[in-house]
Amino acid sequence: MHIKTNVICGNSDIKPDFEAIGNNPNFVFENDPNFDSVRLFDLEGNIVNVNSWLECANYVNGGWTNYISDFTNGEKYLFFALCAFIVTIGYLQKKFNFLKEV
Amino acid sequence: MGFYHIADQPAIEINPTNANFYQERACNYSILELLSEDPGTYEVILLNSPNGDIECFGKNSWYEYQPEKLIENGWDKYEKDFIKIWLSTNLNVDLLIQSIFWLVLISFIPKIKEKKFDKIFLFSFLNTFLFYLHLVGEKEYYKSLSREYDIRLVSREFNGSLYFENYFLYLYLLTIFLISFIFINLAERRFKNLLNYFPFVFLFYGTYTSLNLNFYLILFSVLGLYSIYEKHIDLKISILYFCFSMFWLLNFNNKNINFDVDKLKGFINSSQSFTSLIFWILIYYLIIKGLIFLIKESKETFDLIIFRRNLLISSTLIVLMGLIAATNKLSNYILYYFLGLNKYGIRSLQSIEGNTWRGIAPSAEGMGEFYSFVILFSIIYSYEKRLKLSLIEIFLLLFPVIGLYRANNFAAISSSALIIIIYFLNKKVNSKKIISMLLISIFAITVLIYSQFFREFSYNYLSSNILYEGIQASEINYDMSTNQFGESQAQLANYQYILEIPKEKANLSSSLRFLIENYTYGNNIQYLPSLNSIVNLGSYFINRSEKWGIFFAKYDPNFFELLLGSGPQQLTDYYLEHPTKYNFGLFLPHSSILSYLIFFGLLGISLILYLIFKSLHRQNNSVHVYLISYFILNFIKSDSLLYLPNFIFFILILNFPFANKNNFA
Repeated sequence: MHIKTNVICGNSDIKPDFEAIGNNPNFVFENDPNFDSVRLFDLEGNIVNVNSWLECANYVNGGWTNYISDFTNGEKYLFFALCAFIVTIGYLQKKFNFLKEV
Repeated sequence: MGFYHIADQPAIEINPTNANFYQERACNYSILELLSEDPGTYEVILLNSPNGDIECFGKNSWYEYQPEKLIENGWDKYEKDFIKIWLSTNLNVDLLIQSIFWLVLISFIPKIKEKKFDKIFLFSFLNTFLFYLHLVGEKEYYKSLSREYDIRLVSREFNGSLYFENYFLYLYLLTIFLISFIFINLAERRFKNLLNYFPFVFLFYGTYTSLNLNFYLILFSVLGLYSIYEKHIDLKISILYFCFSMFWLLNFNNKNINFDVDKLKGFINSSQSFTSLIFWILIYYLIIKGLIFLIKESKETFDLIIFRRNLLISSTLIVLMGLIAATNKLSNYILYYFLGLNKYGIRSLQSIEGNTWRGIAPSAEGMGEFYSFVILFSIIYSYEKRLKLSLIEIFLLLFPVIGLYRANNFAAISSSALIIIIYFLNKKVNSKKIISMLLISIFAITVLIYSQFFREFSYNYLSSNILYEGIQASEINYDMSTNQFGESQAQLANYQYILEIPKEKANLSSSLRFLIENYTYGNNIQYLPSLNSIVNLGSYFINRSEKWGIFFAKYDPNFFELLLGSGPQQLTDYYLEHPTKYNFGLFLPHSSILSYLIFFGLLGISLILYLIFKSLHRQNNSVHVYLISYFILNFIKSDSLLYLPNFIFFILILNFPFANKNNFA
């Protein structure tokens, strides 16, 4: 999540406390004139324009993004599929010395 | 957007007016859906977009219509209009799919004697670590391809908790581990037969579509690790290489540069980072060790008949695949992907500007050398070892001949013809005096014909035309006076004037300045051309004046770099450091020797040449001399050593397993 925040919102030295922000209903994000506004959206297609790094990071932490494919972590699915493949190959290898026999 | 996303609207006809429809619906339609909507009215070019997401793999990424446009420098010639469709590919998916495909192909190599490999897990792990360095080092390249790019196995969240979900990296590492592990297991019973199937490296180029990596790098580096483990180490060369490496590392300037690797993809450093330099130093050493290890271990099982047959089959398939890729757009894309090509196959049966036709190869020159080698090898070895060519083999020999003719590689044709002539002269004529006389006569006649043919150019012009081209390529920031025809002193090749311009304004590279000074003020023996003039003159006849002129305009080493180079596969500094008119695109040196001058410096090249001659002397095999001479002759004017298949083949020829007489049928 941290790296995704950097990709979407840019780098910052701020250490955000999302829990405190979430627990405070009166929290107001201050606009940062040095921050280039970023348009984010969620899975339902809602759109928000954020005007500070902290606001951006907070939304990204909540699952919003500026890129449609971020809603599916393809790498995660492929990684587990590959793990399953490796387990199968490993089993065949152990049982039948598969790779040497093919 | 999920894996099983179905488009809200079906694909519509491929034509210029529907560009917006497809641009707004990226990641919706597969290659087959798109092609089923192609009425064939417009030429459609399929390209890959390597920065795609996994869930968009194989689907449309971008769509563009390119209207008819006037060809540069053409009065009334127009380039036909066409539609370009980009299809998403993904770094991790490509690494997995392409590797599995090529590993399956390796499994078809017949099994012979077993070679036991120990500690497969350990070596697969070490190899994975090595390629982790690659991902770290070439950050600029990979960052541009994936938003997920992150090199940390574990990172910290803002609240301090650990983050273990860098699946981008886990997937990459796991795949490299898997490739190394499966390869070693597959190789155990095929290891000693692999060499016989080497000719297929020219067909299956092995370059990953979305990575700056080649499949063979992964394979040979793990073999290199085994060769060190089994103590196949030449201590002197290793120490020398280590000393060179220390110099390259100490002399290195870290910069955030992404060098466009273009058709050199997979075997060149794209970045100017310390880690990437370490990776290429290690990988270069390991692939050579791996190759030599394989060659040495295969001495008993190397079979000239199988090798020759595979040369013929491979070259035939390359020509045929080139024809298929030229005539069908889907085949062109699929062959690009599954053969691991560095560049899309040429999309026409016509030669480029009536000149060369490269087929599926990235370079007509490199492939021409291979075709020519197939012919040379088939003729020389069939004669030398009395290995008759069968009727089918004679038929197959026609394909490399056609390929060579279409590649129009004059240097490869003439050098192989010359070597065949010398070979048969040596075989048929016993007197060395007669051979020498004949060769001198051939040389004299050739020079005479050339000089008659090109006599409209003065010696004065020809003896400095690399320098002339070099000056034209240099970015000289000086207001030079012009003559009545508006020609500047640079255009008039007034070298003395150029040398007198203040250095910071002349902006000449150190190499070009040295050559011009040598040409202008050097000690000359009257009526005898200097070495500088001879090289300039020679470059004209092999059509390299402009290319080498650009090379010297760009090549700006300090004394130590000139002596020791910048490190293997390091072109970034050469390309982007010294400002010239050619600091864009891919202007290769057009000589493997000049490329290696950048990599290893004068001292490095001298050592390489010394090792080659030593190897020839040790083996004392006359046939071997012909093949190596053929390669070295071609390296003078071609970049082929920058392509991995050509490089692999050269290492093979240098260490060809001739010693065992059982090989000779």
